[in-house]
Amino acid sequence: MQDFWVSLWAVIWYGGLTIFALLSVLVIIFGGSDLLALLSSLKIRHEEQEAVEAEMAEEAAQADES
Amino acid sequence: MDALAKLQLHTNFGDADWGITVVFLVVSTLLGMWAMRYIRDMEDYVVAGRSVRTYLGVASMIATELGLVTVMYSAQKGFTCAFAAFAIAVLAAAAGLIVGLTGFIVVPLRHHGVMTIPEFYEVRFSKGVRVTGAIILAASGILNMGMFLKADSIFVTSVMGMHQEGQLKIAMTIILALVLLYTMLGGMISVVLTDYLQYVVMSIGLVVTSILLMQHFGWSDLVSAVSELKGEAGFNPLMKESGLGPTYLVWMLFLGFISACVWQTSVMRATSAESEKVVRRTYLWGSVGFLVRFLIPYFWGIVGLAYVAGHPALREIFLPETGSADSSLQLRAMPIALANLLPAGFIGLLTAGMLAAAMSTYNTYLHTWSAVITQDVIAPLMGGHVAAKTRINIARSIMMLVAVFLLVWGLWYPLSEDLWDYMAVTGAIYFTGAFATLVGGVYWKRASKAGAYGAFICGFFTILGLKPVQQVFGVSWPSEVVGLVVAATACVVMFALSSLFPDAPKEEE
Repeated sequence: MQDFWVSLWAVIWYGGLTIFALLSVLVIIFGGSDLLALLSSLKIRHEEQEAVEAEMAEEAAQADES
Repeated sequence: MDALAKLQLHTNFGDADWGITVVFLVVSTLLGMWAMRYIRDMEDYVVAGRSVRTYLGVASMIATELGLVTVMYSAQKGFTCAFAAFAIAVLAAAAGLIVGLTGFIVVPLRHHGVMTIPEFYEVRFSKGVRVTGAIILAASGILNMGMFLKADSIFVTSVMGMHQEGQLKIAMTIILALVLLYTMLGGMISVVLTDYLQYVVMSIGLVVTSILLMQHFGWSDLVSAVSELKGEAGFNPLMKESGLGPTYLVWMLFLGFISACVWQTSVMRATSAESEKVVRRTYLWGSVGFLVRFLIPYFWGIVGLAYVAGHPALREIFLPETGSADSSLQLRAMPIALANLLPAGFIGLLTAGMLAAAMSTYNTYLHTWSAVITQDVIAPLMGGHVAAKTRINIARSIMMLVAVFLLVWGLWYPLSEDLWDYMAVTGAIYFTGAFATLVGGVYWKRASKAGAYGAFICGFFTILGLKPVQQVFGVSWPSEVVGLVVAATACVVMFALSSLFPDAPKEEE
């Protein structure tokens, strides 16, 4: 019975470590590009928000003038 | 501790290792503070504008869930239960995989577009349930976090060869202050950003350390050492002598589900994901993290066991002929082994990796609990009309208060309970009730707020799992039995009270 558990844990250990090592390589490479995408999407969103806010402020100013 | 001090233990941690560690801490802090420029509103601050994609989500999830405290208590489990403890890692991975495949709880939460779990309670039940759930969640989470500094400090002192308590307190205070600084300023964006950096350092440290340890102790050497010390119980998790047993394994499977889909810090990854598809993928890949976050520290703990068994002076202290070593002493076995087995230079990278693990956990937990208190307690009580800037300032103030609590509780309060029991029980006060409330709220139309309140109240009874509380009542129950019974009772109470006291039908808007 002990042999069964030893074999099972050996498979889990070597398999788990290998998958984690491979996953880490993927995550390090593609996570970096995800990070850049996150920052650029936030930047675009903020620029859009600023444009909308500027437009609203302009409309409000025009309404005040009229 | 005194017995170890007399041995004047050697460490390979040298000047180069100090350099690596300091450089990492500085870079990590500067990066986190730099993220401040991307914060405009509460959505940016709490869920990074909901723009996190799969790989970054996986990095952030694993970096958070693989904290140094996890490494410490898992290594202790590896030390005490040896290879049998691997079963817990397998169950945790299975739970993560099932959540990823089915989207259990996390996909509906993302679908509702909520930022926190209590926010869902309001959408589904009422504002009162939200505030109650948030208070229990934050109190339980902050108490749970209270021992992180204590456990982490044991690792740092053992590896760096710092044996004075004062040095340790100063070092940990500095680390917490750095984390506080960038998390307060940068919110979730700094958390995700630094989590990525920390994942890079940590994953390299974990894999390379494991390979180096395998060079010292081959698989067959470890199997022989465990076989000699523990017999079949060191391998078979179904044997009660292993320290686990069937009931404990069921409790661990339940905890696996909780970690994946009920614990707020994990759920934050789902709520900040770009889409529901990304949520599923993050959990599918993240299940590898759920496996490894236990598996690697268990292995290191087994190496610690074999190392002390091979040194008569250490064996006498860690593996006494009668009884077993003190719990806090067992925690030192793994770092002492690493400090002597790993080469100078590399041990600095490992320490940086472990500090990365600690910091990524601190920043997420600090950020999460402050966000929960702000979003789910203070804002609803103030009628919800709180400006975004005010909310961010409130969250920052709460973060500061939580950090002060952590310092006092973690560094100056003496830990008398077993670390894992303390963590499991303090966490269970929240999650036993929350599990019933979330499952009912998500999957059962008739679940009512009376059922939710009942489930929360049930959760408090988990405190009976703590040894000091049991001593007061003169009973001795295994904590896993208490946890499972309370969780099952909370589900029954949710069902019974919802059936007896259903909510009034909501008016169509």
